[in-house]
Amino acid sequence: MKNRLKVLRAERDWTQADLANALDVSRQTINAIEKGKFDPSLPLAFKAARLFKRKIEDIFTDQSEFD
Amino acid sequence: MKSTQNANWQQQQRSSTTKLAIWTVTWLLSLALATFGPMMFWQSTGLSLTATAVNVLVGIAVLIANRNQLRSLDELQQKIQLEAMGLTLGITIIIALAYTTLDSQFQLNAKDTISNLMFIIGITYIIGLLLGRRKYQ
Repeated sequence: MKNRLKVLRAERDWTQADLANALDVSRQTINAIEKGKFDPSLPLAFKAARLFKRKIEDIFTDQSEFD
Repeated sequence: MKSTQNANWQQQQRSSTTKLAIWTVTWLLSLALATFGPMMFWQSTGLSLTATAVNVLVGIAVLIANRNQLRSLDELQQKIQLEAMGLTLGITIIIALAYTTLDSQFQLNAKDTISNLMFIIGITYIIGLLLGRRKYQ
């Protein structure tokens, strides 16, 4: 799954640690999500959407849409 | 930034990990007592059985502490733990059954089978964790 976490984070000048703190996960998890190596659960995705005040689909994109 | 909330989450994780470590050490000490007690300190069957019962009870506490520690992890950390445990279970079963087959055919009569199995479990689990961390880096 593609995502715009890195872009949204950069817009706010947050580090991965800052974002991890806000979402109650480890920095390793944020890094893995940004690199597309790990897909977050729905609750975590909703949490990110609330944090950035965006819709989930504005942040996360299902790769199969492009297949 | 909700740094206080995450500090609580990290503190909870640290607390549960510390508790797991304490219970694990306690279990190891109780295991040592149950193993060496009859050899070095007493001749009583009752004491030996009591020491073993205590070891089992402490072992149950370790299981509970382990469950709580796993629950305190975030979802990626839990996934890494689950995959490491799956790998460990699979390899342990394969090796144990292979050994059983060889033993029935060739009467291997190897000493300290359980200790060797525990060693395999420990090493496989550590390798599984390292592979998991590397996979998601």
